[in-house]
Amino acid sequence: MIGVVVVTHGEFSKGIHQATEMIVGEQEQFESIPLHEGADLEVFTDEIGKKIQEADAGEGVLVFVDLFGATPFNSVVRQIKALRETGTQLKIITGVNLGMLLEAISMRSFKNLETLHEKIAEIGKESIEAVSF
Amino acid sequence: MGKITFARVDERLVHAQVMMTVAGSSGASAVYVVNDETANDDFMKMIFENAASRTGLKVKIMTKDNAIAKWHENQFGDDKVLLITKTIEDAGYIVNKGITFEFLNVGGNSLKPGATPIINEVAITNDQGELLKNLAESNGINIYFQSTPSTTRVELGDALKKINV
Repeated sequence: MIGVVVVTHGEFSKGIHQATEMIVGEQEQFESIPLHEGADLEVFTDEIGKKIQEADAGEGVLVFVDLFGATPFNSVVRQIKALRETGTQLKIITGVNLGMLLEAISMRSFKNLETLHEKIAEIGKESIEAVSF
Repeated sequence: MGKITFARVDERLVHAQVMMTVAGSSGASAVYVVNDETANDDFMKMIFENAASRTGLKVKIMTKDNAIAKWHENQFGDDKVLLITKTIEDAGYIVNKGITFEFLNVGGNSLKPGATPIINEVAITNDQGELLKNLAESNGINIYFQSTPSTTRVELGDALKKINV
């Protein structure tokens, strides 16, 4: 099964983690990492590496972040090389929302990392609708 | 002739706070990220270029020595520059090599052993305090601590009182 890790500014990652489990129940290989104000960047980046490794059962990890180019994203990117060297593959999706996270959790047992990565990004985009009555 | 409208020390370099608030309020037309490690890493360079370009500003990522060379060549051409270094020491290095600016915003330097907190996002050691004091006195730079334009601003003089420099 593919691991899922969420990394965001503030407690957003913890909140969306809890919201996910509220709907689909407690999950294995599912981690969330909040970035707090004034956090030591090296400590934060190390924690990301550790949690991604913990979430990996050999089939890779899908990492969700809130924003492209922001610190959670940049810190995940900085870990890619080291994680590859230890045999952990990862793919990143930006703009995490609950819809895509739920789909990732439900599909991750029967897709490979590359397919899941593409599919979830598509679902994420499609899940946004401007609704008017 | 170009000029540096805003110089900032931020260990996170370009990130959401910088893109959303600092870049817009700086009056800059270009972001120069002056950091040897990033400039020498093609992958991280691409990531930062892509991210910072979303501010609509021109983005350049260069080593300290490259920045110094460009400065002496033509003071950064027509660019109005938001210049970001990762450390206080890097900012000191480029000033000592002749780059000049009026204001230095210390916006991100996380708490390490031996450092004293000045604002939530910035802590400095006594050595860093001495370095900043010297920059202010010898180069007439107005130095202050603030993470984003809407948060608490502490002037260097008040920060130095906290660390007895």
